[in-house]
Amino acid sequence: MKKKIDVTRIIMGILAVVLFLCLWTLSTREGTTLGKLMPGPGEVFKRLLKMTHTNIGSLTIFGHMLNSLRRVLVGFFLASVCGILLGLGMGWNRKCEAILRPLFELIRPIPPLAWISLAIVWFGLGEGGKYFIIFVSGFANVTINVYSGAKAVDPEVIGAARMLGCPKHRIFTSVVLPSSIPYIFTGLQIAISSSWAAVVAAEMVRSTNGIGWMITAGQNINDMEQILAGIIVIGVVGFLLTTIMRGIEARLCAWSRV
Amino acid sequence: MSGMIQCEHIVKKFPGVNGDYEVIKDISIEAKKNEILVLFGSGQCGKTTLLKVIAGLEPVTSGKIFINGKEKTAPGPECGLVYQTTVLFPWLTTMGNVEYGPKMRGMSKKERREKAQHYIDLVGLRGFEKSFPNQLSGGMRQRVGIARVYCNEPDVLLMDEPFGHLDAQTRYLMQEELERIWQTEKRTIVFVTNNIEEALYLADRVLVMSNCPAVIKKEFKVDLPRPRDYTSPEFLRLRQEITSIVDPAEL
Ligand SMILES: Nc1ncnc2c1ncn2[C@@H]1O[C@H](COP(=O)(O)OP(=O)(O)OP(=O)(O)O)[C@@H](O)[C@H]1O
Ligand SMILES: [Mg+2]
Repeated sequence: MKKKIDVTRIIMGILAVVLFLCLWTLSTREGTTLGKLMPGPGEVFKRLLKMTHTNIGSLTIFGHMLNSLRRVLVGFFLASVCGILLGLGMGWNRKCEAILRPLFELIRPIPPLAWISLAIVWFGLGEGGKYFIIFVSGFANVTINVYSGAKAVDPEVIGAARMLGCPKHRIFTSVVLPSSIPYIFTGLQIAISSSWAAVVAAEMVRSTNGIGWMITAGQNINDMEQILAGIIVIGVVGFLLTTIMRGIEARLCAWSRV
Repeated sequence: MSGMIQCEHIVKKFPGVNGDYEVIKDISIEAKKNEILVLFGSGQCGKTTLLKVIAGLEPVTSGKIFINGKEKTAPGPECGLVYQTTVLFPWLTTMGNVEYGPKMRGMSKKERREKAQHYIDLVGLRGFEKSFPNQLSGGMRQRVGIARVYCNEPDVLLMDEPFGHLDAQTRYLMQEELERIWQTEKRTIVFVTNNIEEALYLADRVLVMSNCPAVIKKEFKVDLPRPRDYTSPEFLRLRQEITSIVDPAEL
């Protein structure tokens, strides 16, 4: 199951990033209108380097990053557990589907931002509210994917399991669960990136640290470098998170690739 | 003492857009213990449907099925079906698929691995124990399906054109193996095929099915000594006789 690493693809990807940085440098060079509004990549990276050993607010950039990561992982974990349970339940059990599907469909279209005020009222200004915002931004994605996975189980395969001696009450763990795994991963994949994207919104609920806080704080003192540094960290960490998830998926779902 | 398989007046209809579509019209079959029954019929005549009904995978519209004296209403390990189009567990390896039945019965890991390995070797898949179905060819998947059912040791083996996707060489080999297994660990087998030589090589009795809706058109007893010789005059005579009652246009 060894996959060959595609060198040309990686080189092309790196080239695209370099090209983007060049364009950024060019368009913010001295004398341009954009240059007056925004620093170039050089300044931002210098600032980023400095942030690794000096505090912004109370923490270095790593401290902020770890706080954001902790929030995202807690919210994402809760969203995954609830989403997988609800999705499997609705997909496998008719009654469960009849009762919960309408409720779920009503809640699904509400964007995470719309929950902020409620989150504050329900969970306060502390960590609870932030976990909740991140939770709602991942939950629906996990649920809907797991739900369609549990619905897509081939009845022939269930028949084969019964024919080989699998009792009715074990069909769920023996067939439905494993055959839903690729769908579960699709859901988790989307959820981890939307949870991470929601961290800025979540940290707008009064906080004193986190990448989201760094960006809002930068906005308040009109520090463009700090804002851009925050944005870059969000992009890079988000990229790493999805890459890790893909790696896990590739190992666990090799059987489902055609 | 009644037979191992007893089907009484089975009727099977599928609901269709313009009324019910009758696939099986009053079929009664009896198979004695350790008998090999071959169902021989043209394409689309309802052979797969009949096997699924016997396996309890499809409900009958009317009629009754008894396996070893017990009425059959749901699928269970006493009847093992080798599917015409393989229905494997795609998330399990060859080994995982073959040892599935014994695992469900709670057999210890060591014991069931040994047993599964025996059947994997038998169907010629040694070296592919860790492959997933999506890494195997069609013929190999079919053989996993065969090993999986053999390994579960059902009282009744239902085989739906099991060697259909195999090349001629492997096909002969599998026919001989099936006969050998049947000689050593006696089983009752219902075998579906549209290959007349395969039918005569294996059968104690050949039941010729009519076109849809299916009834049993004629029954032939095959008394030739085993293993059978494809070129013996008796074999050729039976072959001639059976093909003459099956309209070649139907095949
Ligand atoms: N689930 C189903 N719903 C509706 N019609 C069905 C269903 N299964 C089978 N049929 C119909 O029943 C008829 C017989 O099908 P079946 O698969 O039993 O035939 P067969 O003899 O096994 O054919 P083949 O030789 O191609 O394997 C076909 O016309 C098919 O369209
Ligand atoms: Mg068929």
